[in-house]
Amino acid sequence: MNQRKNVYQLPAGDTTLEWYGKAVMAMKKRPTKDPTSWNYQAAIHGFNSTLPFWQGVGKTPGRTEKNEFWNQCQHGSWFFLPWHRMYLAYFEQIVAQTIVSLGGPAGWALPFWNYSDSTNPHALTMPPAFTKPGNAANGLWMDGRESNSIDPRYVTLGALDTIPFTGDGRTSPLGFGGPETTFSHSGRTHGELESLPHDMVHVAIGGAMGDPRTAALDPIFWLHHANIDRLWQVWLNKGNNRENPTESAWLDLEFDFHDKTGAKAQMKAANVLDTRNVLSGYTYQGVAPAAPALAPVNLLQRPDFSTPLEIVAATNKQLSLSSARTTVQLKLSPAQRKKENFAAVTAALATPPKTFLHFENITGKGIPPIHDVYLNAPDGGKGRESYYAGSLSFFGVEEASTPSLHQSGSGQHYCLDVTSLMNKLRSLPNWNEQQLDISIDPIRPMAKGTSVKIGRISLYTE
Amino acid sequence: MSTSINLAGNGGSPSVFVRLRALFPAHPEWWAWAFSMLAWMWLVVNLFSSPGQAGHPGSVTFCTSAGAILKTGLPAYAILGISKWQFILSSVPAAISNGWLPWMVMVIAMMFPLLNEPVTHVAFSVKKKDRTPGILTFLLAYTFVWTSAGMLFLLLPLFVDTILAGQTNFVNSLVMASGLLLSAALIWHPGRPIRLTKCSLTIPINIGGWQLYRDSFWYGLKMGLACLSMCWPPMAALSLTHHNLILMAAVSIVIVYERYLLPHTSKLAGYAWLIIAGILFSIQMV
Repeated sequence: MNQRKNVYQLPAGDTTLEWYGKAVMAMKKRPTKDPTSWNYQAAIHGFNSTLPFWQGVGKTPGRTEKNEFWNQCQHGSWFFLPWHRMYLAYFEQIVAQTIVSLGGPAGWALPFWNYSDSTNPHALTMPPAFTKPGNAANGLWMDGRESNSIDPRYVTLGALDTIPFTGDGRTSPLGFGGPETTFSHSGRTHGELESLPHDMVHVAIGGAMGDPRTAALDPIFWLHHANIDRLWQVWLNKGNNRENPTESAWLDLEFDFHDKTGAKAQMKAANVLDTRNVLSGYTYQGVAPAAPALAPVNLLQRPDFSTPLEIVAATNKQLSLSSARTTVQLKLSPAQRKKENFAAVTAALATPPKTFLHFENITGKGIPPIHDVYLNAPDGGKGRESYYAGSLSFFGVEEASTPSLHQSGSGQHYCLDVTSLMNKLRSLPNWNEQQLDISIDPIRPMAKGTSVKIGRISLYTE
Repeated sequence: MSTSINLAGNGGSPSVFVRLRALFPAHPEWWAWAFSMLAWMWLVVNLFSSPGQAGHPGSVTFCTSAGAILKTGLPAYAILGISKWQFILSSVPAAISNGWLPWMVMVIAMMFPLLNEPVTHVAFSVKKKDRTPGILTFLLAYTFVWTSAGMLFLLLPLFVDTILAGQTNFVNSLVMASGLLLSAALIWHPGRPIRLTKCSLTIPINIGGWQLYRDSFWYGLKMGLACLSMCWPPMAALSLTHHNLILMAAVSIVIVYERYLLPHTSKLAGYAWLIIAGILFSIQMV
């Protein structure tokens, strides 16, 4: 059984990345119509011929094949984790076979990039093999990346503290894996892990990685997603009611792929619950493999996280973001029974009410910069950081805004868990029970031709 | 701080009542399903109270040319001594006035179960006290779209029956099955999955005031149109078969299954339409 290793803990003389680079070069030489080619594999995640990264792609498959196999990535959905696990498994199989065909060793396994590893001083920097040499002779290099390192605030792992797998922050608290959906290529609320660190890492690196339609063209994509896949197992291992969904709608929806021979293959979530059973099986270095519990849970036996939340405030006009800070005043008007959740307190509560800030129907063009969100923050100074509520990545916003074969064009939804921050704000002397000031700061100016509009900002509480 | 209902079992097991009290607010889509169930009950009860009907009331079999032929051997217009077109024109008001209510009930029965996502969206976009009015406004607008379009669907069998009155059983059977054959063919239309994604459309809804009703109504209209663009072929097929109740149930199962359990690019529903069309054709021929 393969073990996927930490890319920063590969032993001296290890050839995992060297062979990965050679395989990438070999796969890039295959025609795009070949399902085992680099382009085809990337297009399974996303494809748009008008984007510069897809220039020179050559002949593509016919429309029927493209509809079935391309643009299939699942985002804003409880299929986010299982779909990407399937995707990586077949990709890993194809790379491993390519390496063998090049005369390399058998049993190649995809390494993972643990950017959240606080014990590794280099963790936030992309492994050097992906950046040096910075030219086309390096199979792991990719032109157009905006950054080779990530701000530590964008790789925090608060998602692992989330108990429910599903949830959209409205009908129930935001889930670790995403909201219940049907096939969802783009457009619903991103789950906790998907929002942070997944989306943030994509947009922080930028370039091809910044857009789902080109992301998988960058070789670092696969190490990033191996880490996200690893975190799914880490989350399960933390126990305490952390369980995968048991609904047939999640377990049994089949997705289309190609295996290492290029033959059509199908897989469903039920096939990937235990990593040791995915194709030839794999484990993660430093993570105990385990067969997740699948005890059927009756609707009436679920823990209390299925209790719906209630809206207490919302904007009523569309908001356009710009290169400057955008501020919004949210008038708090909770129902009588929820007023207590927003009353001033003398000291932060031990168990504050869960509160979520939603950004709904976000539409836009291009790859907007990450925007940091602050609540009731002073205009400047170092103290501002203590009012940080979270960030919006807008990963895939253009695609989510465009009606197409795979999404309605309603835009994206992001949800920030502001429970802790609200708890703190309520204990401050300047707390206003009737208004919450939201400021949204871009981390860099908007590029020309880039735009973001937010349909509604709303606040929900339990 | 509010107290949430703890179902986790700390300190004793909550009663079923307590559990249900927490469960129902979490599923506003059950409203739509409840209306659907009531509509089905209405249809079934009316079927059994009118045993002479092929479908539910409103599919007035004798008043159609096909029905008249069954009873008298002559098409209705021939019995009345008028032309086909005069018959069609004179029958339009009766077809609409007799048919719009049963049509609306049929839409509620068949289409409301497809509305889990939009109903949930409306319900959780507004305050708890406004959920019911928001949902009802949405459903009203949605039903309004289908009922308006229903005028055409009600005239379809009148037109087809009259034009084809006196044709061979093969032709009539083929016409009966044609709507389902069209449904099957359109499954393979490249634009269909794009239209299907519109069933997941969401829009921002104002949290309160008259704007809440405006937005809910507007959303209902948009979803009604999206749904109509997807489901008109099987609904037209039902019109051609005079809304046979068993066929309605079969069509409902297929569209609900497709909506919730199939990938949006799946063609499986197309094969289901073909099978149902084949069965219908065979029964008609016999």
